[in-house]
Amino acid sequence: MTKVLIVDDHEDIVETLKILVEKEGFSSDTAFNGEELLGKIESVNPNLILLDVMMPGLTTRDILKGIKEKGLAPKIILITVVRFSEQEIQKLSEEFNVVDYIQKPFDIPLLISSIKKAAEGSGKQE
Amino acid sequence: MRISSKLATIFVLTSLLIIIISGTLFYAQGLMVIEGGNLIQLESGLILIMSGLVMFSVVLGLFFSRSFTDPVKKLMVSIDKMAKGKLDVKIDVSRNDEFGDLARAFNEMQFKVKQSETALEKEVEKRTEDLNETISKLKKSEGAAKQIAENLASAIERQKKMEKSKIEFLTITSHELRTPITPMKAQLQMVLCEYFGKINDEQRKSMDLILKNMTILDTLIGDILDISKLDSGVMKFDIQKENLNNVVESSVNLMRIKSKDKKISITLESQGIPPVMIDRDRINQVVLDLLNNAIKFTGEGGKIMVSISDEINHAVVSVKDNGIGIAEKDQGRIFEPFEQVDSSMARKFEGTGLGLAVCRGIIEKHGGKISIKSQPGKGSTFLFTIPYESKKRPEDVSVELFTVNAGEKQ
Repeated sequence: MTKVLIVDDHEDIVETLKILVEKEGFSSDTAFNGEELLGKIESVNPNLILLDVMMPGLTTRDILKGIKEKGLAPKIILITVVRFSEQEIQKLSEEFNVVDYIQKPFDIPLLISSIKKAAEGSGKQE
Repeated sequence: MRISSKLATIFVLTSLLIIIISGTLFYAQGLMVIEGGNLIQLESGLILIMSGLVMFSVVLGLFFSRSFTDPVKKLMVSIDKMAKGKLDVKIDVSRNDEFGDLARAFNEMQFKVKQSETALEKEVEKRTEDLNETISKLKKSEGAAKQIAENLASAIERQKKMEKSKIEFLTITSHELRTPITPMKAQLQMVLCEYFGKINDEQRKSMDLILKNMTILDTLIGDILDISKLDSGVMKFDIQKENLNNVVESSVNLMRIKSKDKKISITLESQGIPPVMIDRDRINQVVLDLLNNAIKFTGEGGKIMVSISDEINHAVVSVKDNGIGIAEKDQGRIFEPFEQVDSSMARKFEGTGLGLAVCRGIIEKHGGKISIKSQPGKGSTFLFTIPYESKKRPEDVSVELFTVNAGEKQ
């Protein structure tokens, strides 16, 4: 089963995404900041991470570097209020396995479509 | 005695000597003829007289020659001293002859040279003072210029910090405003998608209404942030070489779905145009906003025509509808923030009143222009241009979204 790790400092968003992901048939785990994510990523070993771009503490780049340094390569969907250019996404994709980004407030059908597309590649969805 | 008098005396004395010698010789020869026996005695007397005269001439010559050479030597020594820079040399002027005149003239010249030198020294001194003053002023100016440069650098630094703060503020505001809307909208959509069980029509209608207004609120937040970013010049543009036809076509396709509810047809006419340098997402945002407006203000079964044409130096995109149109007096201010023609219309058509101002900002940042042609009751045509070669980057174009006329409704 595809395991999705949801990371956002906003509790209600984490809760909403958890319900959504589980309703769509994926298993989930949660973290509320970058430090917590890096602390549990090896034990959780997710296939996909839904990562909020603006959280207190570690910067997004630090988090992405931390994941890479642990030798893990889960797919990552960034959740953000800012726009990314195609070049930025391409660069993040090459460097850190970022596959997509969703703008807040996200549209549920669009988010589901993005999660399913990312999960397809992992081949673990049951 | 003056030289001329001396020369005259020498001339007279020499003439006299010549006359005396000549007369004596002439007389002696006469005596030789008359008294030949005493000739030797007489010649001895003559030789003695002549020797005396020669001696006298030599002494006289020496005397006169010294009286010539001495003042010349003195003059030469003085000139030599002057040449070596000693300007206070003077020649004794006790004589009353031409040498005395020469010495006086020399002394006068020396005096004038000395005077000139003193004046020159004073002038040099003054000029030196002026120069020092100028150098001092220059140093002060240099100091002032350095201070100005430092102040300028500090102002630029402050400006950069301010811009950074503005960007941070807008990014945080954007994040903080949208964060609470995110779970609200998501949960509502989940209810509407029946994740939590079936809902009846009344519940759906209620949820739709909440979702619609939430979307308006989100659009409003987005527009306010876009206006702020455009106005403060911190909006980012990702400029790439793009095919404008493709960009417009994707927006048209998206809005065709929305226009189906009102049975409005959207047609697209396009000419082959050269590629343009644009931020694809931002131009998409403009086309979507114009189409959204056209759908809002066009009645059921209406028609919307989108066309892309090639003009000299720029491409033109037009969105034409056969909707309610806009009165001429209102056409000038619809691109101002919060200038929707009247508030009742804003309520009826659910506009934020900011969309067209954002469109204007985005188009102007691309070096283009946006305008409207409209006739009430017949429809409106919105046009915007995109230059093929923009002289400035969007970051270097300043956009004034708030004009003095804003808020002065006619």
